[in-house]
Amino acid sequence: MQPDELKQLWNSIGNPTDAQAAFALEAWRSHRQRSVQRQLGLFSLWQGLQLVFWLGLAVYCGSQWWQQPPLAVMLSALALHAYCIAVIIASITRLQRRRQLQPTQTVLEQSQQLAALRRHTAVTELLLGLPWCWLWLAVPVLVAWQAWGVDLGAFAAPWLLVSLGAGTLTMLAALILARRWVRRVPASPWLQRAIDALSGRRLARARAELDALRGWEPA
Amino acid sequence: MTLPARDTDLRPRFAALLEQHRGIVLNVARGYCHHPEDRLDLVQEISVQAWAAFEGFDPARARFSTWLYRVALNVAISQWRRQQHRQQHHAPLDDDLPATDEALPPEQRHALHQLEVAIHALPPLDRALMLLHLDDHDHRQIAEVLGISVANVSTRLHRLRQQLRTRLNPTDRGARHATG
Repeated sequence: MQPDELKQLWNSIGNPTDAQAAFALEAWRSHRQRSVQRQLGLFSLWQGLQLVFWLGLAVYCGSQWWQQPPLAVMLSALALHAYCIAVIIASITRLQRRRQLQPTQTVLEQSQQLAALRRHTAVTELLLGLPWCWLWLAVPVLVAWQAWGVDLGAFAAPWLLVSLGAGTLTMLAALILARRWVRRVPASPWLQRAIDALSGRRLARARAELDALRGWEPA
Repeated sequence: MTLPARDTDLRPRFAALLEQHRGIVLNVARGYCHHPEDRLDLVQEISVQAWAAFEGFDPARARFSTWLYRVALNVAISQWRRQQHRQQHHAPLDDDLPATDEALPPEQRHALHQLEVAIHALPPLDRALMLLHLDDHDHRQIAEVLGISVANVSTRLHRLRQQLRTRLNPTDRGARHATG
């Protein structure tokens, strides 16, 4: 088939100009425009609230370890403090990357930025998700210290050590099982997303996408 | 409800331009969506995004068609990626494509269906390149929309056309293998 024949064939049915298509084209006039703006506003508000939460927690944890409490409390506060800073940096970077996306960019530019955003999301999901296998322990340690002045490091050291070990095992098991189940299709999209993230498939996909885009010479 | 000054100035201009170039939006939607409902959703999304960005449109820097193609393709590719992520384990493309225009002769309908399947199987950027080519844009215009060099457009288009031709006429490849 010759190139012109391809064009002829593609254009042979033309585009539908029925009432539905015409109505869809008029969407910019409708309430949908306002609902998109409202959704964007809500999304920004949600992101803002999350940032405020992590900032507050970072300040609180900083104030805790600064007072040089017992070792277990100090380590818990330090770990949570470092985690909060990592979350804040990751969120700000993600917001910045999102802001850079403009529908009027060249198609290559936007594809590259989207792929980079996806890689950033895949990396941060892994790096910020897995530590919770240990990090959850910081919460009861800090609460016990703050509310009752109890140092769980001294009061329940074996429980803390066993929980840390269990956390490590859980983390390893999650990584191994995700790699095993990567080809299965769980009914829940949430589970699918977790398996994709833990098995590294999400990250691999984002990297492959970026690699493929490198083959396109920018103007 | 009174419209903001920006809206009263831009609305009629945008409406006229969009109406004049509606083919671009419909063509991109056809290239990136299998189902008629998805196409309509995409058309809506493109029209909403184009209007949101229209204030920044500068006719001195780009023609409206180039600008609209960029918006349409960017919106389509983003939506396609989201859908692909959700439907990665679903039915193969052949089954997903709707039947083409019933008014066409069966042979042409079959060929068109094959072409649509082949286009929908292309990666998103290659698909954008092919859609622009099929819509009769020259290499310079395609380069402008995609943001790549004209030389790159020529090379990639040549490869893509060969790929499509082989896919649409598998006997060509067989003959070439037999003689080669």
